[in-house]
Amino acid sequence: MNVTVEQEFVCRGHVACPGCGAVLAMRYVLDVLGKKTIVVLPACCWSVINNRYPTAAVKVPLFHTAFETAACVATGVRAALDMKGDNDTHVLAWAGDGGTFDIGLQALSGAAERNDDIIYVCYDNEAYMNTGIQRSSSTPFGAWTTTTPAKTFKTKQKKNIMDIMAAHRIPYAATATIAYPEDLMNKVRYAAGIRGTRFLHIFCPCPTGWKTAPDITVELSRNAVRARAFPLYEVFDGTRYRLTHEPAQEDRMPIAEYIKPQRRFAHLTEAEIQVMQDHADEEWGRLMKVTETWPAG
Amino acid sequence: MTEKKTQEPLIYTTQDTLGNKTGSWRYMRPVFETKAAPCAAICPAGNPIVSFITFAKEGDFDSALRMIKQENPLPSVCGRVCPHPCTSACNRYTYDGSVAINEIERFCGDFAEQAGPEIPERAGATGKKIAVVGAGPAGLSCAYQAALMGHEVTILEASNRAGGLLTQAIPAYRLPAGVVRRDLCFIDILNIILLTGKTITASDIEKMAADYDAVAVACGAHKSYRLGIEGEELAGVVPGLEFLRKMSGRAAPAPGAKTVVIGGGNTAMDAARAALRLGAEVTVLYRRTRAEMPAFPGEILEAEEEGIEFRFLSAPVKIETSGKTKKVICREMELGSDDDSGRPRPVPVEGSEFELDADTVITAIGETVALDAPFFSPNENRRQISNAWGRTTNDRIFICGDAGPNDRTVAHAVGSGKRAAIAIDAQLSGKDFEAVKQRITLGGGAVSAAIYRSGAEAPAKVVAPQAVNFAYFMRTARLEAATTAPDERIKGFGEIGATAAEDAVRAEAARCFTCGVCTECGNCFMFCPDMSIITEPRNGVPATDTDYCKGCGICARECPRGIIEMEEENK
Ligand SMILES: Cc1cc2nc3c(=O)[nH]c(=O)nc-3n(C[C@H](O)[C@H](O)[C@H](O)COP(=O)(O)OP(=O)(O)OC[C@H]3O[C@@H](n4cnc5c(N)ncnc54)[C@H](O)[C@@H]3O)c2cc1C
Ligand SMILES: Cc1ncc(C[n+]2csc(CCOP(=O)(O)OP(=O)(O)O)c2C)c(N)n1
Ligand code: SF4
Ligand code: SF4
Ligand SMILES: [Mg+2]
Repeated sequence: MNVTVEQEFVCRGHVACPGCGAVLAMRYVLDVLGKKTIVVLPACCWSVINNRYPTAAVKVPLFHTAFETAACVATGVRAALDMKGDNDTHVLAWAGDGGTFDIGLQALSGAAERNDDIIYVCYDNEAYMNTGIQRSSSTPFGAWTTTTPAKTFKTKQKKNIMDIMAAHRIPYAATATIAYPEDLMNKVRYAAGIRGTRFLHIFCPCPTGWKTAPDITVELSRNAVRARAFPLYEVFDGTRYRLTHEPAQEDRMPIAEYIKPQRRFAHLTEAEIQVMQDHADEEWGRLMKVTETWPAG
Repeated sequence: MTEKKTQEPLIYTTQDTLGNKTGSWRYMRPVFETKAAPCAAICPAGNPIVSFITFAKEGDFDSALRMIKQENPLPSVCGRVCPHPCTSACNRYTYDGSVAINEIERFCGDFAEQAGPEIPERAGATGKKIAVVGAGPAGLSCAYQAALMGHEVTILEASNRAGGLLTQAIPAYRLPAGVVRRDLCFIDILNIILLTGKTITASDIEKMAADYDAVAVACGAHKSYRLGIEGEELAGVVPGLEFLRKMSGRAAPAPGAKTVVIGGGNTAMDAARAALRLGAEVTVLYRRTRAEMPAFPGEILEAEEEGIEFRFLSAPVKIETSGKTKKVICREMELGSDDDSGRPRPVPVEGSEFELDADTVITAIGETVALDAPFFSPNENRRQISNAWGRTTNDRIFICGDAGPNDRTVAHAVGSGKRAAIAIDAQLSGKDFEAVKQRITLGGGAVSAAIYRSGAEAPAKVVAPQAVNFAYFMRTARLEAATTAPDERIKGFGEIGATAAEDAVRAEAARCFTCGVCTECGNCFMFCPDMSIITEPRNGVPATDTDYCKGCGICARECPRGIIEMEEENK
């Protein structure tokens, strides 16, 4: 491990499930951003993880807000700080996939269109976990959730939020995941050094919602990258692409192997898994093409 | 100075969550523990593989050598001739090729040329006297360890020099004399008394048991088995060990133009290859097939490469004189059901007789222990003696190496000599032998003299490959040992191959996973979602904050080298 967490801004005693990936994401991001950060938190698992008032696991100021409002509240906090002449405190909107891909999308789109000076993190556990594992538009094809039971599993592919954000031509958008902390922290560091709307899509396996053993959270995060289900890349100004980690030939793994320990996919037939594989291959091929056609300098 | 007005705070600050002891959720608990690497647990000599490789990685070869010398006085020798079972046990083996441990050991051993011998410090004199019979690797290792423990050691050796089969049998093309000499420098440094030309009998040993506090018998297995066929006594028919011994004594026998070697073990291979180098045309006769040959695979391969002819499934029936030369009458064999050794029994094929012309016949079908003594019968109490680390029915007499019930390699000899020295010391100092044995045996296998001396505890568990997290190791090419082309090497007795270069050795050492030993990589700390890893190592490993650890097990999964295991929490 070439990196470490120097300063803990997430306190022990938080109430995340054992093996929660989302906690690691917060821990790494806050270590880079430091204590001059204000977190804006809509309804999501993290609003529970943080524990009940008057206690808080996050050791920087944190603003609990409504489910759909992460981006616009962050914009407001930014405006207030600017009015006070404080322009070095980071405003970090921290929302789940439901709060980002679905209900919070219009607020996010508005902030991005205005290029408001915020860092927006979507920690993606691929469903509405906080309320009991309902499907979101980030839930992958094939997955079981309580609203897409095994017999009628989700038949729509995961929405590509990065394309949406790139279409806003914001200065920086990147994907990251907890198994690669160095890559993740480098991206946060880059984002912290520039202005405007910065978007980080952080993939965070969830043992409870994915029906997986808590000890393989990091392994699943790594395997998602190795299986190219979740490629690691960044997009500058919405137009220039760079892949930050390409799995070595011997480390690549088929989607089937990546989903094998996840019981949310247990009902899938080989043909259905092939649909997932084809989708991953197609998305990867497209990503390769854009990184070649519009490479980052 | 203006007075500050107390103001209502704009924001009421909250408390942290430390009051929330989430450790109570846990039903599994991570246990951090230093473990034995499989290579080290299997090394017959008990080399401290992980620690010497760790130093080698950093280029600190002085320290690497010092680590080895705690356990094994013969690294230059073992690095060359040991069949390295360590590499087959290496957790890297199925990933991208085992670490070339023997090549690293060899480099470290040879580094004594620059670093000096790096012999550990000798303990204060105990006033106890120990005699060792035989100066082969077993006797030498026993003498070495006993001397380090502060005993006064005398070695009585029948031949005119130390080294045993290292100098009497293993030919220079595999083990040059200078290499053995370098490793044997400890005899003088530790003031071990070496008396050569002393052939000791069984009754001498029993007498010596009265004069010394302990006697270690390490006389090897030098009696060649006889074929038991007609013509075996003819001139020009010689046992392999005798042939090799003469050769090493520089009184090289001139084998005839045609030499037939009978047998399939190491002695047969070395006799054949030595005869080839002395100008003979050599045929090896073996009664089973290549797969059953007891010689080390590398030796068989090299013999084949050098152009030695093999006649498998063939056994001699009779040797006859035929004019100035001889004839070996042979018979073809086929493989029958398994015998006691678990190998298929060769069965003669009726009417399959054939003849081979031979000027010299070398018989090499095995060697046995010449010693026949009441305190030790090589066949009866084999297992007991091995479990007892060389203790015999006479509590002052110990036995080690090929003379005892041990596997016959140099590393086994070194390991059994060390065990005997420890058994002797434990006895002389009144320690509980079984407790000592338990304490210093790594993962049920190798034995550590350093741990014996320090009073520490050897790791009890071995890191299995499933416990290694390969994601943290990039695949890299293995160090390929240097070799010499067959037509070049058969020109003489010059050493085959060469010790690897320093850069290559360091790169190879860097491939080691450091199985079972915490390198403070930080993975457990980095990946704990409950910030519950206490990184300050205690006993060389981190620990968990049991107040908050929820027992998710990520730390155990992500530890690259198998130090953390999940155990069920005591209810
Ligand atoms: C040809 C050959 C090749 C081999 N090649 C390899 C190899 O490549 N790698 C490997 O690991 N192993 C090899 N071995 C095996 C290895 O050499 C032995 O296992 C090892 O030397 C045993 O050590 P030892 O100390 O028990 O006995 P030895 O090395 O046999 O030493 C015994 C010593 O005791 C002395 N002695 C004997 N009787 C008496 C007595 N009555 N009084 C006083 N002194 C006595 C002998 O002179 C000798 O010096 C080979 C063996 C042979 C024969
Ligand atoms: C307007 C509104 N609708 C519904 C809810 C109930 N609710 C709270 S959190 C949540 C799901 C959050 O899902 P996601 O954003 O993916 O975060 P996660 O819980 O998975 O971390 C829902 C539906 C709400 N708080 N507000
Ligand atoms: S990787 Fe290193 S420590 Fe592990 S088995 Fe191989 S040589 Fe031994
Ligand atoms: S990663 Fe942390 S919480 Fe999980 S078992 Fe290890 S110490 Fe406990
Ligand atoms: Mg979610």
